[in-house]
Amino acid sequence: MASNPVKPRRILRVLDGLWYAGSAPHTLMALTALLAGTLALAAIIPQQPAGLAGAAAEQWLTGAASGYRQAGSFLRAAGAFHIAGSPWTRAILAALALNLTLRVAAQSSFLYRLWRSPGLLNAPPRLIIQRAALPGALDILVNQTPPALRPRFSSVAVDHDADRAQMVAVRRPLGAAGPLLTYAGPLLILFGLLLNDTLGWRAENIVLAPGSSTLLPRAEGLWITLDGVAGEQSAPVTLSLTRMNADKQVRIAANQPARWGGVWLTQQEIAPALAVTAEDSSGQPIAIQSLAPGGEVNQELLLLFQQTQGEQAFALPDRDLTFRAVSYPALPERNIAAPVFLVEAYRGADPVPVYDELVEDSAAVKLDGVTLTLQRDRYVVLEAAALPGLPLLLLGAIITLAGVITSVVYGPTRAWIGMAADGDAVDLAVRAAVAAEPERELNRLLAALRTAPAPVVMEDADAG
Amino acid sequence: MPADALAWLAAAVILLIGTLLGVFTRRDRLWLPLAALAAGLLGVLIGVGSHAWRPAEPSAEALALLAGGALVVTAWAAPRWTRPAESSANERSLALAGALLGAAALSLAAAALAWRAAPTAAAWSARTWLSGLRVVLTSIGLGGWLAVCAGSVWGLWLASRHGEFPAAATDRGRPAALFSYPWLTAALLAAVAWNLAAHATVLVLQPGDLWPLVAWLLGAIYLHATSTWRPRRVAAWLATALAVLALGAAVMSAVSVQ
Repeated sequence: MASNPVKPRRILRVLDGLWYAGSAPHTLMALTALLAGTLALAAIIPQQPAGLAGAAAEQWLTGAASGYRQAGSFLRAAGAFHIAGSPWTRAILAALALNLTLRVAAQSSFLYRLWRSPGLLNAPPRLIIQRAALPGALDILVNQTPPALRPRFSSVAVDHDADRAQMVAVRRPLGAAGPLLTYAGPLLILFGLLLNDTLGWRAENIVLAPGSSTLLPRAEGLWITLDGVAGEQSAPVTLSLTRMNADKQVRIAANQPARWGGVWLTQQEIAPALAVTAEDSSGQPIAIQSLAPGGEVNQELLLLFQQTQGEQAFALPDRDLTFRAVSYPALPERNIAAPVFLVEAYRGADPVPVYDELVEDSAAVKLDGVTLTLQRDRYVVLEAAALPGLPLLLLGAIITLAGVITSVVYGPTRAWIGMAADGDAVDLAVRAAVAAEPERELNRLLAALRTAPAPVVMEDADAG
Repeated sequence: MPADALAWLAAAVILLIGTLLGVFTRRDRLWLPLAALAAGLLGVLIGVGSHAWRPAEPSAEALALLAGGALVVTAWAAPRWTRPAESSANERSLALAGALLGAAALSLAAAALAWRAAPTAAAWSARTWLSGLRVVLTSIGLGGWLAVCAGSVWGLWLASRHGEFPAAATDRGRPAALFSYPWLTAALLAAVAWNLAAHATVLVLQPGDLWPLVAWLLGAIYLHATSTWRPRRVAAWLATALAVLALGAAVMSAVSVQ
């Protein structure tokens, strides 16, 4: 069977070209620049808050786009208000992951060769070359140089003939693991992010009043019950977590999360609430209607106040009474230092309130044969999330930090010393690959070479 | 005027005097701008320390800490800006003056913000050891870019003065970048820990979190471009531009702190 020897070579060339392009540091730099630009855009353009969906998300996007006039619709179509989840960002991250994988392979190969046989590695191009001339015979200098370099370099390889010599000195070859770790760490971080994105979930704005419960269906049927709140704002709260076969009680506070299995729970806010009940003169409960959008009719009402929503309203439809409640963190002008509610009642369409009082802890209001009971309460806003990629992500971050520190503090140093006999003298060409300041390393190298009997005569310093 | 604004204003004035000393003195009196650097750093720290007793305006404090971090890295990098036996060593004080001028501008902006804006008690009450660690790491990691810029711009100026066409591998800001980059990396790790504790997430898509990440990514490109292990065919001005962009991201990060 006849075979075409050209075809496989061409394929190999293409594959080699793709490998080199994909693993090239310039590709890494270009992709990193694209990612930096994308994140800078995300920092400038407001991003859609996590947890918004449906009509709320649509309302937010419309408001955000209107701030940019005609460019708003383009930005919205391009996904500029949700950059983290846009195909553009995902494509960059995928390309980065591929490049980093190839960089890890290339750097591993370099580390292995540097460790096993450093003398075989050629000097990279464009290193600074410092030239000098030493009087004396080449053989003598070749014999004197390795002992002179040994205090600063762990290995010195010499290759020479009658007219020329080439020496390669290496210090801290295992320091090349630093750059390797700086590629491997971000790669692990990207895999961690991928795991979080595909297998993780997030639940925001979980509102719980004391004694109430909520179900997290995505957390294998986890029920969260708020047992109690110790105080205002960032005080600790006690939660009962219940699953089918297990339960646990945890305490969380602001910036002090709880974790059960793979579920993280954080406390976002403790805010004031006002519990309201109403009964007639015979003690029968009266229906109360919340006047908030989508407000329900119930026999007991819990009004929730937020930092951005300090006013709530409710009504007793059967008695034609409407109530307005405003929450204040304190009223220093009335000598009230604790949270307090201003409660006003209106009859029919009369704009003049028939009742107007401050309620600190509790109050019983009698009006038109109705007894309204007001009780100060609190509620807690929680966030819950499952982060299956977190161990990988933290490991990647620590490896990246270790790689950066290793590269800076323990980075490898390689030096190439070329010698050529020139009459009664020897011409030197010295190059060094170091973490920073190669000129200082070259100076130290030449100082070490001065241990030879004859003095060093500097001729030229030139960029190669 | 509040104590923090007063301290930062004093620091800015001292640093401006240091700038003038840097411009008009030569190597034999380099200790003068360095003394101004130390006094300016002390002023910045006194202003930040006053927040132990009263709430701070977060952006003002972040800008002051950025100036403080810049001064720390400048003190470390100044001896490394010149090359051995270089005739331009006399002009090193110009790079130092540039760094001091930048730090003075940051301190002045911090003083103005602290004076005009209302401090927020919420930011004060949210302080923990983790947020404190993050602040310290971030200030050095991001502030270092001012020293990188000063060294890099000065190197470009020297090269143009001598009619050279330098490569990025000879960039004079690299030692400062190598010093500050691990701090910035550690700061991002601390930010992840903070976000986990506060929001059960690793990255909050807010400017305060995104700008340090942008600076870190630009730093990675800068360190690759200026590599002295394997010098690349990259123009020196590109390295300087990267350093300036990273400094811009650092300033944006401080301004957008909530």
